[in-house]
Amino acid sequence: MVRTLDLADWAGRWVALDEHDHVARDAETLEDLMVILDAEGVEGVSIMRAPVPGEPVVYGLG
Amino acid sequence: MAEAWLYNYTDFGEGRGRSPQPVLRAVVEVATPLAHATFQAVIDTGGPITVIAGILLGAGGDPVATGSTMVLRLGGATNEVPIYELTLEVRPPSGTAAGRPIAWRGAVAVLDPWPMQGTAVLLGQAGFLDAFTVTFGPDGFALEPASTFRARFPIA
Repeated sequence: MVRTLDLADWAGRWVALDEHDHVARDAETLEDLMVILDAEGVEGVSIMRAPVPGEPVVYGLG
Repeated sequence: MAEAWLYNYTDFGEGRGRSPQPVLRAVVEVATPLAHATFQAVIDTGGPITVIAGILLGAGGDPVATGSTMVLRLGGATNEVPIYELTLEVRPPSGTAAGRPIAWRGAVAVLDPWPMQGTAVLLGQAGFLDAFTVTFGPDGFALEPASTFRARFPIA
């Protein structure tokens, strides 16, 4: 089983996902999103940045 | 954590790149204790240390600067970053009755500003894989305490 997210409409934006992986809030920056969540008292969401299709995501540490 | 927590892999929608199949990530939800929001966190077995975005330092977890730094190459950029001790907790898989979050305290490298796409937390060897046993399989992955590995493969 694979959990598949469809975040193309939010590509490049920081999003807060609800328990069903639907976008509950979004913002241009992570800092802006945190401010929105605090101001509106939004709880129970999970934060990530929606990938831009075709833009390689590089996770490489060293 | 009486039993292993089983997770599905996550397709963030990154596309296939040169791969014949979508890029799948081992993702768990991580937060500072009592936080109202979690972060999607990618388990990176090749990463020497857990790395977080600087904004998380203001979200609890009793961060304490160690006074040490490390040179970190991430996403093509090289930075000298501070190391903190921080308490984080991992949430059980969604949609299960797997129990309560599990907290651990460990080293994290702090990167500010955060240059990455995808997530604001990368779980690496120090600060995560020294606290948990992670088993990767073809259909998903499992999270268990570090003691599980040591019990299964005791050092003579």
